[in-house]
Amino acid sequence: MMNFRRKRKSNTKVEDIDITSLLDILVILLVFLLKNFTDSDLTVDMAKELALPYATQRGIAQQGVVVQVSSSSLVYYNNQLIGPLSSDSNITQLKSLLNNHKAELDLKLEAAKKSEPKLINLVFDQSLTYETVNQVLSIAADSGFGMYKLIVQGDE
Amino acid sequence: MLKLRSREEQKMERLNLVPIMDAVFIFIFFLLFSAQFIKIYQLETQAPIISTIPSDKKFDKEPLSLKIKLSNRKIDVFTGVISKLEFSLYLDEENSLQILSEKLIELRKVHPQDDEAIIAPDISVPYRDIIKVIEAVQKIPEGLTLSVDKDGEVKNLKKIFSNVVLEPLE
Repeated sequence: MMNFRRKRKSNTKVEDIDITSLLDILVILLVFLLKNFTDSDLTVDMAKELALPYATQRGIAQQGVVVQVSSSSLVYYNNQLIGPLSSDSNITQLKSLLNNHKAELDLKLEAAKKSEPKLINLVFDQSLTYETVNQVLSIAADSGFGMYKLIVQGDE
Repeated sequence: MLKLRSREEQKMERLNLVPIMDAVFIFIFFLLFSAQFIKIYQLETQAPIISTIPSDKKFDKEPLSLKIKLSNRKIDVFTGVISKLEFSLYLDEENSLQILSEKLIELRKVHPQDDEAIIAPDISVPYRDIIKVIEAVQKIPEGLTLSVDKDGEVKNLKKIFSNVVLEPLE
């Protein structure tokens, strides 16, 4: 009986899994992810047909309202499509959304007894002309946003 | 039995990697969520503000009033309250933006108090060219430093001109 027990114990012993290769992969993954890590708190779901211009400056993007304009002049407010910039109704809608957001910001700043310029993150396609860019800048300025943060892509 | 014991003693103990694996896994999830595969950065510009200067105000030194006009592939740099053309450059020229930065550094050294530049692009100028010029106006080229004497104190600047204003179209 004793002999039988001993045999059973040795048979049920689980073999150690060799995790060396898995660890190697994890280390590589870790280095790759660390390289891509950014402390920016801004997340932008890039619209279709939108290619960012390149720049070598490294100003960390900050959280704030995001307005995107694609190469076909489609406007997005906080990643939601509004429509073509050529339409007056879309411009009115963008203005009212920005005004509402500015009013919310004012309330927050008033509660915190702070006064600081309101920032707006602007994401334009690199092929757009200044005519289109100026149109959006004017809308932002009229809504009370005095600080434009032009979002660019890092030049590797 | 004695033989077996001595073998066990000789066998090296394996490291327990389970806790470190747990930590690495958590770390990977954290990094995956914070990773940005398109690296986005920002260039800061300001909305133009109209202010009036009292007509009786006298300046110790004429303000720089830097204005950079950007038309199709051409950059004209004006200074002074009554705009005077300082120099012109073409974007297609080799190192034109580097030259622009270097010349602006010289202007900034002469006018340490003026930290503002107005960029006035034409209606048809592509946005990518505007970004290039904004960057040239702000970024000090590699290998160069800019220190100015501000109120008797020498300061190292991080940008040539910090306040960049995009002039609205008329």
